[in-house]
Amino acid sequence: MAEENKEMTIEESFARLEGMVKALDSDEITLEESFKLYEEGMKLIKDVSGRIDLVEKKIRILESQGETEDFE
Amino acid sequence: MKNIYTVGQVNRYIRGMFRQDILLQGILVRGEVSNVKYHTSGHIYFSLKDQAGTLSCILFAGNRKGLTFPMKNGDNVVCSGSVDVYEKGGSYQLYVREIRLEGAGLLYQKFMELKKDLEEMGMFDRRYKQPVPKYAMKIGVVTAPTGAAIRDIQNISYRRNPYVQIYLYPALVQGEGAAASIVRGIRTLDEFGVDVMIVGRGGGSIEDLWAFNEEAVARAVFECRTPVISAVGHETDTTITDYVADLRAPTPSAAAEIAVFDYRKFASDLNMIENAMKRSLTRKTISVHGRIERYRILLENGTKKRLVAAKNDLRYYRAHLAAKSPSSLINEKRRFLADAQIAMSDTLKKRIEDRRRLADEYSALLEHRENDILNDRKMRFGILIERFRGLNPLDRLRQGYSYVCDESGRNIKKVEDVDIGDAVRVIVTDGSIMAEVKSTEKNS
Repeated sequence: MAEENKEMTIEESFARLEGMVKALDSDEITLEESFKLYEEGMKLIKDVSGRIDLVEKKIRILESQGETEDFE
Repeated sequence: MKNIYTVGQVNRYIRGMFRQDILLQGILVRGEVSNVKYHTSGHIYFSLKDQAGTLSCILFAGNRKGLTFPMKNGDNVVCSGSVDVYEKGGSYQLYVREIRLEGAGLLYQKFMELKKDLEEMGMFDRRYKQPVPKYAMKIGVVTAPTGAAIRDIQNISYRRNPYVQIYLYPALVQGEGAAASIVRGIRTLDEFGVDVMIVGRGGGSIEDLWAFNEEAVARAVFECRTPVISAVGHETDTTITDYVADLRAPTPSAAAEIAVFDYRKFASDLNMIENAMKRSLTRKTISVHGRIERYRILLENGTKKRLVAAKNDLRYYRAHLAAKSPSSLINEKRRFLADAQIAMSDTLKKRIEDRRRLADEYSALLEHRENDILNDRKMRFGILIERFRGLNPLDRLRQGYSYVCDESGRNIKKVEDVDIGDAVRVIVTDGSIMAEVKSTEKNS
């Protein structure tokens, strides 16, 4: 990717979510922290699944000039 | 008269002429190998031929590194070297420094050389390999728009995840201009911005795949900022592009499997995480609720206990105080008297009751005794009757015994009880027999 993306990639989000599940499972954190993590996690899950535009896509043809058109 | 020359002079003269010829001193000759002889000295003797003729060749042992393949008769080769005269034989031959294979063989050789060069430049180095993103949303493909590769990629991506966007750069993948077209495709997609790029084509001959062995393509892949998955031909085909790419997929289909993440797995992974989080939190809140409840009970019980204790204390003290009041003292005395009265009358009643009960008990006991004695007697009488029954003398007589007595009725038990001539009575069951003692005999 050419530009710097401030958002987490899906992969990073998954890693973060895994970390959250682990943290939630541990007895170390307080209930307040749990709620915060849970809220954050749910938001992240929504965000990650929302990152995928659920519209079936056709292959686009990219010409040298940077214009695209449908492939069949 | 013309001069006469020796053979040696002629040959030397001709050799001189050859040596002055710049073309002959550095020449490339194409032809088919024949009569190849690997001499024990290390020199290789062979001929190059074509439809027009034959040229003798020699590769000296010292130039052996100029031959990088096992040359055999029939190989089409290009030899570089110089044509010179062998004075002793009066013949000329090609002194070969390097031999390259033509056609497919030449391609292979070019491939090996480029591979070696690029490898030495570090272009295959692991540290330049970029990781292929696991969740690419935009995938670039550089391949022919009419080939099998784009169809395979299309099918697999529709099956795995129809939501990712595929951008195809329609490239020329074989023939004249293919390498340049592929390079343009890589640069265009890199500039356009995709998450990952698949560069490749379907299977074909080494010539068909050749564009992917061109240095220009290798360099474009190397310089590409987008991670590149190479997917050229079949599993057994390996091209320079494969070595330079960040990841080599054996086929275009396999490349699509790598580049296009499985949406169902993505969704189920996300779902699993969500469930795990919900479970964790529920478990945690339940445990916290449990703890709160426990503390609540503990607290409640604590206060309750205190309250009860305080109430008891209060009652005790109140009672204690009340007991000390004059009216209470009088009451107490009165109560004591009343109690004593009740106690006394109670004792009297109890005593009468006791006696009555005792009398009843005795009478019952006595009655019981009388019965006992009567029964005892009855029993003993019964036993006696039984015993008397056994003693009836008539029973004996019935059994065949007889009773003998003298005239006065005295029972005769011994021999001495009678004398000879005494009369005796023998009593049997139905009467008595009178008899006289004839003789006596004592048991010895």
